[in-house]
Amino acid sequence: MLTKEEFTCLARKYMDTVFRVAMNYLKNKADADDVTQNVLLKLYKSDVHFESEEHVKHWLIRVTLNECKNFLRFPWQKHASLEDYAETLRMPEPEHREMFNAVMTLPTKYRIILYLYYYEGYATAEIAELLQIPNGTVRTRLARGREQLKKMLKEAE
Amino acid sequence: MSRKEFDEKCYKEIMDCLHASDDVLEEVLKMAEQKNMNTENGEMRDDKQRIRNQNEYGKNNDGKNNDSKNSHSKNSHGRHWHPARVAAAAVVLCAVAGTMFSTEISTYAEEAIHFIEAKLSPASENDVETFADAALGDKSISTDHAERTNSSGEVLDDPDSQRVAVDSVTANELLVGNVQNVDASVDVGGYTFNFEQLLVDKNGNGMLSYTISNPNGVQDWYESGYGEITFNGYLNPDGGLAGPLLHSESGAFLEERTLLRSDISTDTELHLVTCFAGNLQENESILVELEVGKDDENGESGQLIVQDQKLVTFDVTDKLECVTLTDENGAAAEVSPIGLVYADTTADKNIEDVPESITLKYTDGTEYVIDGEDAYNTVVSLKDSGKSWYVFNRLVDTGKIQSLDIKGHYFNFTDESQENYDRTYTIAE
Repeated sequence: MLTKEEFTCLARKYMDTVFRVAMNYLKNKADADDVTQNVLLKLYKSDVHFESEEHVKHWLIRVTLNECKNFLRFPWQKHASLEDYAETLRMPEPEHREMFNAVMTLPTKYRIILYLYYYEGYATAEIAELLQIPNGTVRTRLARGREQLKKMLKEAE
Repeated sequence: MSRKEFDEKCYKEIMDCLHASDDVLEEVLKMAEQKNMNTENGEMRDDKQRIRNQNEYGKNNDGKNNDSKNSHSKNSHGRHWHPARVAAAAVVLCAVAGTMFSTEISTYAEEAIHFIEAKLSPASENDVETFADAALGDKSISTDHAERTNSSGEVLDDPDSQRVAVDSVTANELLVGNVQNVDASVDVGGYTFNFEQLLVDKNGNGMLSYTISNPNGVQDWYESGYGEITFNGYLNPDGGLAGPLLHSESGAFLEERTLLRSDISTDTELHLVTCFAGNLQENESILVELEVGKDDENGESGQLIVQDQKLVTFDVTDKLECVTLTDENGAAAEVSPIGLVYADTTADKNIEDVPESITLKYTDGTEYVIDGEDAYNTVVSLKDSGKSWYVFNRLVDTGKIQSLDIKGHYFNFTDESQENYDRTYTIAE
């Protein structure tokens, strides 16, 4: 089990990763915060022997994806406005806001894969393992997500 | 930026902007410390329960919320509760333990809590019909989804819900002797609660029908989807209804949802059904806490300034029987006409059970999808202390159950493996 110091250090390092995965899955800041809280608590009480920080990150993403899935089983009161949240974000340029809106419009199955591939830098085989789906499906969804995003941004021009 | 191609740099810069709220880690540490204290005291409670309670009453004991003053934090079921309510409820429960049925006691807030014992009597056949129509068959209880929209304004594809009319003969066959007429009228802060009927099964699933009226209008509530309404009067600067809070005599919080019967409700009188589930022990009373209050001045301390508070006790003795079903490994599930409870099939704390669909199959070949990817036909769902509860949104004829199918997967935290399961429970021999 992690000591409080070890946990705090890892939590500080990866809590935004957990939040970003949850945000990409749930599209709701309050829910993503709740999931982040639950996942970090699971990390704290976990008996897992982590071999490396990469292992911790991998574990956290797996647990977050499951937590999000369970979270969606209780679809009440998710009234928080994504637009309101977007307004609070400090985007460098207006184009960033356009892309954020387009990304959040994508189906979850594309959005998560785009995130893991482009932001976290996982290979498609690793994403397949994380999501427990075939590698071919990951590649297809990655291509379709990218295409759909391009199409949406083009239409917005 | 060229919009013709996927701009990876722009995408990364967007994701860089997303951050968890500052207080998330602080709250986790508080919860973890609480867990350690409980363990040291030999009081190991289920973590889900702790997470649920912690979230249910606000993430922050100091009342600070992540988003804004008026954005109260939510539990994993998406509920909104005032942060101070857990403290108030704890005080009430301590008081209950020591002073059950006294008429007036003092609380930490130096407010008086009035205890009222609801009188219960078995409902007649006509009354059973009335109850079944209200709690289980009223199609005016909305099945609309809590409307969630994406940034383009498109409504998200949440699962569908469907309410089913109740057959009065079947309702009487299944429920007579267990539905209780309630004689209790309670005034709280200018509102009058008239309790009508109550039904509880042996596993702690239940339904309570009542009205709330106020000649000046029932204020401070909003529809939160799937027919549910939520009271948020504590956000009103002058105070208002904070909503009923249910718990058992021994202190277990009961998860609840309050449904609005829209056809017969008016601006001055709401007809409601509160469905609930939780660890209600045999012979335990149900306590319903009613309060009117307001947030403190700046909403930062998390204190609820209680203006009026009543505690109504329901001593239910005739609880609805359940049918027991078992799977091939002997794991049990119990189904009553109003709800389901099943035990976790793994005691390994490193393995998480992630159910994906729960379906009751009837002997005539029809089925009731309680919870699935495309259907959401439960009113309350709760996972706590190694058990899962589901309160139905329709009457289930337990005499016609063929099987219960639960599909999902186990996720192993240790080796991150995932194992799908498909369990079928049948009537125990």
